[in-house]
Order: sequence, then C-alpha cells, then structure tokens
Amino acid sequence: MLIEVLDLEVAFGSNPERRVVVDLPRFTLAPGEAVAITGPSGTGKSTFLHLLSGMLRPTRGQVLFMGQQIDTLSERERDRLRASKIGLIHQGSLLLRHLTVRENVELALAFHPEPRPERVGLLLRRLGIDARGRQKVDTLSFGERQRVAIARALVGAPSLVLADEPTASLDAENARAAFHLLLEVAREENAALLAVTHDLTAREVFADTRDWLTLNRARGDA
Amino acid sequence: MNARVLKTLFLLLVRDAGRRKLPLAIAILAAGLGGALVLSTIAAGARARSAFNAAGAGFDAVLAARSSPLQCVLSGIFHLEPFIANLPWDFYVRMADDPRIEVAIPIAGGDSYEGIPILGTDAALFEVAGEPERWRLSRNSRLFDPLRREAVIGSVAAAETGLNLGDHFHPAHGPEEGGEEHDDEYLVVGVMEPTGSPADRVIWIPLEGVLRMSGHMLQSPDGAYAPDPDEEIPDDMMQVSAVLLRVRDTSSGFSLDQEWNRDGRDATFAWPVTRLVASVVQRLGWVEAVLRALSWFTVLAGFGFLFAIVHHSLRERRGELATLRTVGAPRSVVISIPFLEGAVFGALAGLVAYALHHVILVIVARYVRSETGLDLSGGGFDPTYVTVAALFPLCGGLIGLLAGLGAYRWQPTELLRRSG
Repeated sequence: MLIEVLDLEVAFGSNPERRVVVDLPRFTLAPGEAVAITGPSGTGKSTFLHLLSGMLRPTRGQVLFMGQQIDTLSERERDRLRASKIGLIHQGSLLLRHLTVRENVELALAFHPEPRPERVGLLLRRLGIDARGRQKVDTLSFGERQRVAIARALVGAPSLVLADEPTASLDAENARAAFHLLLEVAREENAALLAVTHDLTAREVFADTRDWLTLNRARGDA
Repeated sequence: MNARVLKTLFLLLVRDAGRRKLPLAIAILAAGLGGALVLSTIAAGARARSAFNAAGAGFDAVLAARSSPLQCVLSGIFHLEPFIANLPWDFYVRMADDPRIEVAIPIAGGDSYEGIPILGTDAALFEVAGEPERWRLSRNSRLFDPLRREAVIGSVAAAETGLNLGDHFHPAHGPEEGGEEHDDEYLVVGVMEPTGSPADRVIWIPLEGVLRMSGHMLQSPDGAYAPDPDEEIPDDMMQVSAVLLRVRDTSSGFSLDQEWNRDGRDATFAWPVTRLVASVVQRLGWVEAVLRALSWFTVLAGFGFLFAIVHHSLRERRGELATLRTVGAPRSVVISIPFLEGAVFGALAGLVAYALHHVILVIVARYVRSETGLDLSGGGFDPTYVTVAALFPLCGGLIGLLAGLGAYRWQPTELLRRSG
C-alpha cells in the first residue's frame, strides 16, 4: 500500500473549545491508484492532504507512507519525503509570479535528492506549454497556470500527487479537461493521484470517487 | 545547502529585488551614504592630521609679534591669518646668529593678489624648506632676483590666479581680495611644483619688495619712513612679519621658549609647531566625533529602511515561502532568504559607501587645497575599510535574520492558509 491511514484525528484548540476537524478510521491508496475525494468546502479536506504530505502532524492515529509512519519523522525527514516522493498541486496553483514557467517547474528540483533536469522540458512538452517556458507565469491563462502547477508537481517523479482543489478557478468544461489531463499524466508517470475537490465534475472523470462526508466522522469547520 | 539551492535563492533574490528597485535603491543609497560619511570623516581626519603635521615644511618654530603661539603658527606657517604686527629686523638677526637656531628665514606679509597672500622672503627659503623633500621649481622657472620685482608662485596660487611664467601683476594692499592695487608691477619668474603644504597658496617675492612696495611706510623711532628706491634701507628701519625657525634641539627650544615667552615680552616664540597644530586638531576633535555620530545615524536609518523592506517583502511573499515548503524546502531555506537578501543589500551599501567616500574625499581635498594649500589627496590603506567591508554585509544579514524570524516560525500549513 502506498498510503495507509489508521484511526486519524486532527483537532485544533484545547478543551472546552477543542474542535475535531478530521476523524478518519481508515483510508488507503494503492500505488498508481487515482482517487477523487469530493465534499463541500471547509470540511477538512485540505487538512487531510496536509497530513498526508507531512506538513501537519495528527493529534491521534497514524499516516503510513510506503509502510513508514511519517508523522513520527523529524521535520527535516518529512521535508525530504515531500521533495522526493510527493508532488503537491494547490488551490490557486501557488506559482511564483515573478519567475518564468520553466523556473517555476525547476523550483521543485532544487530540493530533490536526485534531480533530473531533463524532465522539465519533457513535462512542459507533454503539457503543451513548452513554448511558454521563458514567459512569466502571470502572462498565462488560468488553464495554462494549472498545467505549470501539474508539471511542477510531477517533475520530481513522485510516487504520489496530492491535488487540493486543482480546478478551483476553472469553469466546468475546463475543469473536466484539467481533471482528464491530471489523470493522464499521473498515469503516464506511474504516480498515484489523490485529488480533493468540491467540484462534482470530478465524479464524471475519476473512476474512483469517494465522498468526504462519509469518510470523515468529524463535522467541525476546518 | 548545495549549489542548486543557492542558485535558486539568488534567483528569487534577484527577481524580487527587481520588483522593489526604487525603495531598495533608496535604502541602499541611504546606508551607503552614511557609510561614505563615516569613512570620509575618518579618512579626511587622518589625512588632515598628517597634512597639518607636514605643513611646517621643516620649520619647527615661528617668531612673531606678541600674540598667542597659535596665532603665530596660523599666520607664519599656514598663512591663514594676517600678521598682527611687525618685528624689528634686529629680532631676525638675533635669531640668525643664535647658536641654538639651525635655520632662520625672515618673512614679511601684508599684501595679496586675488586673495592669495604675497609674502616677502629671502631666496634661502627655497634651499632649506620642504620636508621630507625640498621644494622644487617647475620647468623653465628660476628663483626671483632679490633686487628686482620678481615673483615665484605656489602651484595652487598659479591655478587660482591663472598667473604663469612671464605674466605681470600688481599686488593689492591688505590680505583680503579687493584691496587697493599698488603701482609696483611684478613679473612671474618661477612656479613651484606642488608641495602639498600651505606654501602652494602663496606668492613669494623678495623681502625688500614688501618693504619698498609703493604706499608702504616703515615704522622707525623717528616716525613713518618710506625708503628711497636708490638707497639701501638702514637695518634699524628694516622689519619682518615673522621669522621661520629650525631649532637645533629640544633643549634649545625649551631655552628659547623660556627666554622669549616667559622672561621676555617683545615677541612670541611659537614652538614646537607640531604640538601647537596637534592642539588645534584636538580642539576640533569633537566636530569629527559629532560628524561621525551623525554619519552612523544615517547608516542606521538606511539599515532600518532595509529592514522594513525585507520584512514587508516577506509578508507579501508568504505564497512563495509556502511553495518552497511544499516542494521540500526546509525552514533553514526560509530563513536564508531574508538573510541572503540583507547580506547582499548590505554588501551593496558597503560598495556604495566605498565609492561615494572617494568622491567626497576628492571634493573635500579640492576645497581644502584651494583654501589652505594643504594636500589631503592620496592616503594609504585604512583598516576602517576592512571593518566596513565586513560590517555592512554582516549587519545586512543580521537585519535579514531579524526580519525573517517570524517567517521561520510559520508552519507550512499556516503559510498556505495565509497565502490563500
């Protein structure tokens, strides 16, 4: 199993104002598997991704990545894990506006233990944005920026891609296209994909979609 | 931190700096200007002390009319003050014959040309003056004939008046510009090579030229006396404004000091010149200290501004920091960004300080030279440069660290939330 989550809980604050945001008895993701978790905004989906990426520690339970419990790793070890094994795509794409397309993608290789710079060109070509390589990202359309974010997430050849609301700024047609592209590229790269979204078009594209409100027993706002 | 990470950090630095050119340039210039003022006050102070000490041109004492020793030095050595009265010729003779005196040269003043003092002297001055190098005349120049209306001019005097070899001029009465012109016409026969001393800002003529200048009246016990052009001036009518002296040794100096200043009241024996000059410099030391303090405040203001820019920039760049954390950048990289920015901007301010201080020194040296003849240019390596070279990037780095402390504490999830 690539990801295995057991009895996971994340709570903020302390009694009596303690607020449980994520309460997940079990969740698994196999290598190469693609899953979309859909649910309304503000219900802890992003928090769940932060737990899986090692950016947040749970208050209870375990997150296993390829059998290794990541919440017990040191911060530096979790940073290394993100640099080499996990690609992240965020709502709003989080691109650096003053860098070019190529520089944004190369950023992910700066901290990679075994970077392969030739993958930058390959991915830009695959995503159809190689001609924009020298352009600043703020000259691109939303769709093109999303492609840059996908390229950056995949350039380190990760085992897992975590996508947080990847279609937030797109209309239904473009969102569908973006989901398709994400699925295709992740499959080509042999990376597992976990997308969390409130966008119901994901159900049309992903073979495996799960309902967050069914998975998560917590009902507090995140 | 490997080369790839460093390259990335520099890329982020350059691109972000490109977006804040104007405030950054102002902050760097402000800190650099402060640094330049600090360096300039230190370097100019050191050069001035050295130039003042060398200004005596090998003379270590002055005998002049009764006044303060400092007044004697300012008028006899620096030619910055007019002589307050003349001395009888006999005083010069006594000094010249005194075995405790190695060299005695008479000078007489009171006239000027375009604000440049005209001093009468003995041609022997040019054989003994100058330390460590003797004064030299430029090409095709010669010394004045003591019996003719001829002049040798200092290099600054030549530059300021435009006088050159073969030119004629009329001296004006009094030390200030605009005095009444004398009828006597003088011919420039020599231009001195620069000496870096106050002598560069003097027009030298024969001693008798001053005494016989039209309109000058010599004082004698029998009343005012205007010398006849065809007859020799009797010794008891001869006068000098001061006598430049080289004392044989320290004990001679003490002995002469006792004789002229404590036991006698006829004239002032100003000795040793270097100590008197040092006392002036020391008295002006507070000015240098105040200037230096103000300069450091300017540096502080510049660095304060730099701090504000880096701090504000980090807050604006939470998204950038969040991105870096999501791609695996450790906290050390997050704090390295403001540190590197501060250090680089501090180093740039240091470079600006170094360059600007040279400009300031050139301007100050030109002004001082035109006003006093003293040469403040040149000057060797100053250890302060090393201090500034190390201090500026270090201070920049420190304020960067300070500005980045908050960002260092931010969790990646918090960065994502704040940048969202």
